[in-house]
Amino acid sequence: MRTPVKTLVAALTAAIVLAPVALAGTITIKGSDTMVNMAAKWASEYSKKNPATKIQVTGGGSGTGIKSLVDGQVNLANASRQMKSKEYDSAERNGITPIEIKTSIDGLAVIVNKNNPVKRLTYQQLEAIFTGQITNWKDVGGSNSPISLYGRENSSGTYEYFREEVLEGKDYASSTKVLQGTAALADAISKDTNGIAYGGVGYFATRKDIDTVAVKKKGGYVDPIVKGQINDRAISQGIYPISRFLYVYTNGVPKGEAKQFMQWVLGPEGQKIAGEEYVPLSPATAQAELKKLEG
Amino acid sequence: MTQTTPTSGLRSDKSSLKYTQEKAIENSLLAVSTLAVLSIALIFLLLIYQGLQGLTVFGGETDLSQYWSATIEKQELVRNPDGSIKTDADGDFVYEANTVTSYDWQPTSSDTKKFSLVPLMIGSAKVAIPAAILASMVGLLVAIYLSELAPPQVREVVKPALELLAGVPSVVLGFFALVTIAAFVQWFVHIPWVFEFLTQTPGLNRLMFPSCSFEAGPLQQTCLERALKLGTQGTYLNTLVGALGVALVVIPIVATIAEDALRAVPNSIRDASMALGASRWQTAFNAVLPAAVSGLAAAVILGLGRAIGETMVVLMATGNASILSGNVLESGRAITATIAAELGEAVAGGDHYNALFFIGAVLFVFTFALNIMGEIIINRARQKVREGV
Repeated sequence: MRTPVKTLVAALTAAIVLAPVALAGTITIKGSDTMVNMAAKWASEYSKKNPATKIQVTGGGSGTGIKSLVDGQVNLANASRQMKSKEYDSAERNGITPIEIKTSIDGLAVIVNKNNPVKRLTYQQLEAIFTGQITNWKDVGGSNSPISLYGRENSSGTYEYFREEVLEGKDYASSTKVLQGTAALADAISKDTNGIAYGGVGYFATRKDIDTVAVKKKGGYVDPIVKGQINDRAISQGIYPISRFLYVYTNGVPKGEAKQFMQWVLGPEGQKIAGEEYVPLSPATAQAELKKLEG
Repeated sequence: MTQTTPTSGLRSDKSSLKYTQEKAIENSLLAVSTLAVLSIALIFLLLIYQGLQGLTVFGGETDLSQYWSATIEKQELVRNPDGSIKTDADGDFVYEANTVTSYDWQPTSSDTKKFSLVPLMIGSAKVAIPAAILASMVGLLVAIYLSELAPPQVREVVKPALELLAGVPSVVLGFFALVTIAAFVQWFVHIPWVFEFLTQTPGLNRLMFPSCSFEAGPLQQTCLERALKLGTQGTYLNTLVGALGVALVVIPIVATIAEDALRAVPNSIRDASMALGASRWQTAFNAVLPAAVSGLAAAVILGLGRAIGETMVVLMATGNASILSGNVLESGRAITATIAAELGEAVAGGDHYNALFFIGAVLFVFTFALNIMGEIIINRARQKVREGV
């Protein structure tokens, strides 16, 4: 006779015996909030094909992800910026050898409210706006109203990349309101007619209540989103100036399931998903990154 | 040999098994109770140790004065006399370097890192003080009503509801603040007469200037003009939204402690007051309240301590801009939110990491001082009551 207690004991025993098996098939990924949607899609598609592999994806920012990799808490770190020498130093101290793998290309868009007449800005206007030197929209061809700045937490790779690329390393204005994540920025801009913010272009393509700004560095103005479609060509060829690679860092050359997963990410299926959120790698770059996995 | 050991009292019979057992139990209870004291001491030591390590006096990289302000070279745009931006022959903006005193919290800056605590203290104060005032008013009134006036049926519903509110995780209240309270505050300050009152009352307009998120039109134009004149502009996520959210966390604390204090007042005082012909209302306010004043003060002070220490609601609902503005409808960056947001990515042992411990220590010292102050007030009040009686 099977009593409920016996069933419970049997179930528990099974769980204890099977747990190590389940753990062995788990890949943990942590890092960039910009990449978290894409990584989650990779994870779910990959798990459908390889049901034995469980993949956990969490965000928290590039700095947080790299720190977790350096501390040996995760298998892979998503990062929207390259690792800094300080981080390599602490990795070395912990006996960890990070390997950098490019996975896709992200364009950073500058967004404003739908009702804001300003639809194009130069690099030096952006620099002056985000450093707090221009505080009124009328100085950049808009209405006479104060500019309301929004930005990311300083652990974010987007924060750092935008500062180095557009602000020439200068500080953001202190009046920048700091929100947790790009989606929160998009929501804030949709409600604030005087707002301006920056973030990964993938978050904005489908939103009707905000507008991306056409940006000019040298040549002409380029809009990263044209008619609701990400301007892939301009971003991957560097015609749109604010673009960067999105990386995955591994501890040493990945082996086993992590390796298979990374090969799949760089293969046609993974790159197709990358293309839905961002811009896929050119075939030559993808080949070069695949070589890194062979060690 | 004639001497006999007294066997009447158990306690003095030091050889008995029972005595040893009781002593062991007593000592282990003492050990458990010292745990709290020990852990608070260890926390304080860790904060101070790690926080002071960053100071130059102790071999670190940060001077103590940097936690107040820093003198920096700042690149500022040059303006033409008519206010337009000056450009050079290539059409590029002209910058000039000016020496300015900066009160900025910019710990990850690529040139000079700035660690001024001033904006963070303003941020914390802008959330904690309104929250504590609001929560004290509501909490004390609820406590008086529940303890002195409420019929049992009402009490049976309100009291568990308060306990339930105390049990709501602060992240849920933070989400509520972010979505619902923010929208409510936005709607409220944009009611035309409220808007006129807030923006046209001198003094108040600096403390509570609403954001100009009207539909495009004459009202928005008025708002923008006044905002530009005052140099202030409210935002959707601001410290008032945070303060209202934090008040929800603090109200049950104040109400529960205050109610306990009121219930501890002996019934003889109520009876005496009633016997003299006072109504229940008069009894509550003139007899019970003064007798319980020390407990009520304790409730308010613990509430303020909780308001300063609250993290999640503040992080989610205040916008976290480290600005120098007393306007509660502007954003603010509280000390707690700063630690929560930044400690995860600060390199352990670096100057940013040490600075975060330092502000943690400042927060600790602050709440500690508050508790001592509260203790003094309570003692004085107690003495007065005793002398009065």
